[in-house]
Amino acid sequence: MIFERDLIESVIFLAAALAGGGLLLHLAVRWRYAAVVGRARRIAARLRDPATTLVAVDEQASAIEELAQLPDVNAAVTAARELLGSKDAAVRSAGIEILRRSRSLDRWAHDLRRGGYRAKLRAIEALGEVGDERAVEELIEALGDDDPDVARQASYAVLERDRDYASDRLADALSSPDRRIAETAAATLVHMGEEAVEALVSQLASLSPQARRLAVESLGAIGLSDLGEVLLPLLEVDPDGEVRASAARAIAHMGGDDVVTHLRRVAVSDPDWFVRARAFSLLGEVNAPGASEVLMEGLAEVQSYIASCVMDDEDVEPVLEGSQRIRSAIIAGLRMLGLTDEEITAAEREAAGAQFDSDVVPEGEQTAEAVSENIRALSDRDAVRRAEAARGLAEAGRSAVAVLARALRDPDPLVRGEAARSLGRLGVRDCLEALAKCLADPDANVRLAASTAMRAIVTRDAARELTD
Amino acid sequence: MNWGFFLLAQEVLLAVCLLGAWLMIGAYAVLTLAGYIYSRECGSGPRREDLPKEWPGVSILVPAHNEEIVMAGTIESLFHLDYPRERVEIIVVDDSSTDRTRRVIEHLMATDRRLKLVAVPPGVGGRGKSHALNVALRYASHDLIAVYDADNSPEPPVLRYLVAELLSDPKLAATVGKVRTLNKATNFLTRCINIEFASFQWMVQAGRWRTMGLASLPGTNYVIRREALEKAGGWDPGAIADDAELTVRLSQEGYHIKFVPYAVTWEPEPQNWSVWVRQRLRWARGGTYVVRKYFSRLPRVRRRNLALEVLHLLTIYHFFFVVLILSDLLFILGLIGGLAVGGTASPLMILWALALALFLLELAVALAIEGENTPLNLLVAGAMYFTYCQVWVYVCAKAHYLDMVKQEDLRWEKTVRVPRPAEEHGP
Repeated sequence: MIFERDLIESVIFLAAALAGGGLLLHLAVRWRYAAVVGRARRIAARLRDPATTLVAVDEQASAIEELAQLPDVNAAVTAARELLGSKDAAVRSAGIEILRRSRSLDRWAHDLRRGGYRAKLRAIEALGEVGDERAVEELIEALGDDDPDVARQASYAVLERDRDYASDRLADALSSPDRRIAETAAATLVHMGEEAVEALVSQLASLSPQARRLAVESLGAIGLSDLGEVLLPLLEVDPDGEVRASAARAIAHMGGDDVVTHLRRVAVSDPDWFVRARAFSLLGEVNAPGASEVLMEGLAEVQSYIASCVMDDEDVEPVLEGSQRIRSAIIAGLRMLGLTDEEITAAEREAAGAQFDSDVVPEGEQTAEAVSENIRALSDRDAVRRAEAARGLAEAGRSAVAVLARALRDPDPLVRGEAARSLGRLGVRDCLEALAKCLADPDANVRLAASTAMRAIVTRDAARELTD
Repeated sequence: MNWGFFLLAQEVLLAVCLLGAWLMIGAYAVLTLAGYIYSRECGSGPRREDLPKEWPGVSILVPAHNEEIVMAGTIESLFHLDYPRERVEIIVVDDSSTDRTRRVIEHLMATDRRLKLVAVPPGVGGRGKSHALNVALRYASHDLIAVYDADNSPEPPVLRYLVAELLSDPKLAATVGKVRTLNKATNFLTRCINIEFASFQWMVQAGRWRTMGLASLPGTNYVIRREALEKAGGWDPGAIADDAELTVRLSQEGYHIKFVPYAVTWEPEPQNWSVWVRQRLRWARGGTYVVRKYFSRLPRVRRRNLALEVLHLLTIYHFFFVVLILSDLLFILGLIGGLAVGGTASPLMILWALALALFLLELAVALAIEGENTPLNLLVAGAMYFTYCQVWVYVCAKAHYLDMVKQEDLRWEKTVRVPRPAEEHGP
């Protein structure tokens, strides 16, 4: 029992001795650290003293050296970061020099590229405080981070020090090959607002189309009305369609009395179909007086062009590019102006009617109204009505070829057969290819109608040649 | 009546059930462990500087049939993909929609050149996703094809990750990403779906990739080489589970598919049971279609991946279904106190409970990998066996009834979409 008590007492004594020793060691370390920190602060205070910075350059250098040589790097870094808060450039550069010597900048740059989320945020905060050329460069690289939160924090940190310098560097980043960096830089410049305008305008002359496009978009988003003068020439002279489309959008959003005139010019004359389509859709968005007339004009023009093209696809309507895209943009624009689908269909019908008026319709045959009615009936739900319309279009002249060729792909064989017969009666050689495809139709009547029509066309052509 | 024979038959049945359950759960335990190892190996994705500097062109195909409520959000997400603008085209197939889908697409087409529309007129389209994808493929101009459903919100770096992985190995036909549930906090069903997706992706996709070098195409969020797709014959219009069917055909051609867990897309899942049942019925019938189509060829199959893929589908839609039914039977028999099992109910119930515990542990590990191991999710996972899994039994039973008894034709049934939640834990 005594042995046991002795043992317990020994254990307690040992534990107490260990705890006491540990405590003393801890206090010693803390005391030493506090002493180092205190020393670092005293040196930092000496560096912040105007007399030191202005008069004794040698003394400043020796203070920096002294701080860099401190036995505890963290104390030196803490003191250096305090110096970064100074408004005196010399004091700040002393702080940066200490960080550079302690390799803290390298460590933060490494953390920013390869560290975890928290390490990245710590590095961003520190580099934001540093704010020198290298730090800003590292932060701009971080704008492309896959984590949007890291990218956002980096964008705030870039602006922490010298906003003029930051806006210039961010504007340069618009031409970065890394799309994320460029787009986040653009978003940051928009966030800066008016302060970024000068840097953005300088990018309008960049060789990189991406930089020009992002600069235009950013200027449009900042939305100062006097920027129109800077952007308008781009509509004419910029070689890149995306830049011109972005400029058109920026101008549309800035508004003004002449916005419809500018957009109309683009919509009618731009060599790139996408820019024209974009301008038409923007006309719908701006909803200014005269916009609907321009859209209607455009619809009539594009409609007549599309109707003159026989589509060669079997069962789908691809709207990949060109006039189909322009038409779809015009329709989207008209919808934005509040037109209903019925009104748009009526406008299209009117455009189609106008086209038939101008074409050669055989004398004594269908009027434009009747042709329009038949074309409209071709999209009726009732297959019999569609078939009657297809039959009726045989009297419409050459202009009905396009719509009849499309009717050859109708889901109902009755309609396909009537369309083939009508094409045969019209006797247009252009539709031979479309009819040839019907020779493989699953329905025997359609195949028969197509072959009869083809024979009729060929015979008629041969007879005409003989007569001539 | 010979009670001895009856009791023996019961015991044999229960033993078979337990053996089946333990085989399956044991196999999934191995896959879960492999999934965990793979998640540690992958981390949060490659560093930007390790990715290629030159990117190939990609055609993104989006089949859409009556998608007006989700279409705009999906297209906007695709516009924001972090991939060189000039190397991407987005082809949306308006597959005979009767709502305002086309209007939404046309509106957005005016804002971005990359968006292209292929409109399939009424009467011609509406024949399912495979048909729409085949139509879109005709207009795709690039050699890499990405597929997204019309209700997806892919995270910006997804395409870079999938393409970079695909380029890293010429044997790969496709790389597939992860699908997360956008509306996971909406109700019990969406929480269950979220857990199911997390488990499926870490056990079946990551686990199989790590152990056997194979993964399945999901219906969305994948990039495939056009050459492989065309060699396999495109999407099968007769298949209502286009992804499972194409996976098998790619395996047949000797191609590999890799799972890339850090390529994430978010999608809203069904929020009510009737929609969920219809969706899963389509999956189940699509899966059994693939099993029927390829099962008879298994003895002659020389490709290991093809056999494993068909066996995987067989496991989900047949084996798991039977085991669940037997497990329910065992549970009920256990509950009524070994009424007909001659005192063997207690140890069997313990084995059954242990199997259930292992199943829950697997779910918990998958949730932990996904960072979703909240107390509520663990609670829901505990309830899933008695609720969600039981409805799955009904779905499988109905699928087998429609296929084998009623012999009803396979028909594409579109999942009713739910709008994107405004404030969810999405991208």
